[in-house]
Amino acid sequence: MVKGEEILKTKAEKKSFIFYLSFIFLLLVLIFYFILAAFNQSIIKKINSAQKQLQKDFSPEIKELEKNIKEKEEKIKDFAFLLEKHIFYTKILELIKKYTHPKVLLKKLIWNFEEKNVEFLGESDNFSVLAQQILLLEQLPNLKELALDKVQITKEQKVEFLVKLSFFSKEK
Amino acid sequence: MKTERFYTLIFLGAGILILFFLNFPKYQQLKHNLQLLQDFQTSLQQREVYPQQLREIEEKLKEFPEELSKIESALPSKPDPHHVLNYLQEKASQNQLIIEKVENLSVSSVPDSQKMKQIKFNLILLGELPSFENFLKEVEKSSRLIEFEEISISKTQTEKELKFELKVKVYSY
Repeated sequence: MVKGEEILKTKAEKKSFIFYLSFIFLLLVLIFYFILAAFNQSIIKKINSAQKQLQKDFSPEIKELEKNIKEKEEKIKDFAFLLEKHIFYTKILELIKKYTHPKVLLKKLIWNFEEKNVEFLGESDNFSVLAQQILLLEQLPNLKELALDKVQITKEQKVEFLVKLSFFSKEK
Repeated sequence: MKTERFYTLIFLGAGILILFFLNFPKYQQLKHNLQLLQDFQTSLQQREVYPQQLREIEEKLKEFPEELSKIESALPSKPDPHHVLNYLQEKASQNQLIIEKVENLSVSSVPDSQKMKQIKFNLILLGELPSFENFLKEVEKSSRLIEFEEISISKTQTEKELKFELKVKVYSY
């Protein structure tokens, strides 16, 4: 009888312990929620204050300095870009002299640097000189295409011709 | 006894529900806000050092006055086409070239640049080839960046005289 009572008492104590444990668990979960909420609130406040500080304008002196530096930076960039594609035109004249046959009379030359093409209107004594001239022009650096556009015999029995040339980007 | 068991189940159930439906989303929100705060703090730190960085850049730029002045000459703040025309006229006459015509002068924006402007005009010169070569050499030395879109050389009625048609392009801000 005494043993049965003891067993019942231990069971009751165990149940009571689980009851209190579940209560403490609920309490801790609730406390944890409020701690999270409070912490979150303080973080939101800090974010708002940081946002306000970031939205503040710089002083006029700094703004002016920023503007000047940005202008200079842009100018340097643009200058570098222009310098990179700048052509030394005297070199072009040297090329014309070098690649014109001595027996060819250059009547007109149009060198378009934007389109990278050249129109070469010349006059030679005969077709043999014209052929030599074409062979010479074929040796031009960066040559993309060469076309003999027109050939005609003039009143003075000379061979007048128009050669059209186009170049790849690096024709400096 | 039964009531105690009932409440135990209620407490445990409520605890688990709160944990999943309130605490977990709150924790996620907190994690997100902490990341956000960190980003803002980094931006604030960068903002604090920004004026100092600007001053340092300004100081560094001051070390290259010659280079900057060359860039300023090449790309002046105003288009001033008359300066270019005066310069070309001076160089042409120095090299025995005659300016026959200046035409189609225009000022427009450069397509690839935000602020850069281009001044374009056609310049027709008369003279001999060596004079033109010297003229080109002088123009190449110019502090103002002068480009030619097209150069056309043709014969005239006179024996040695040639006609040079130049499509000139200069830049400014």
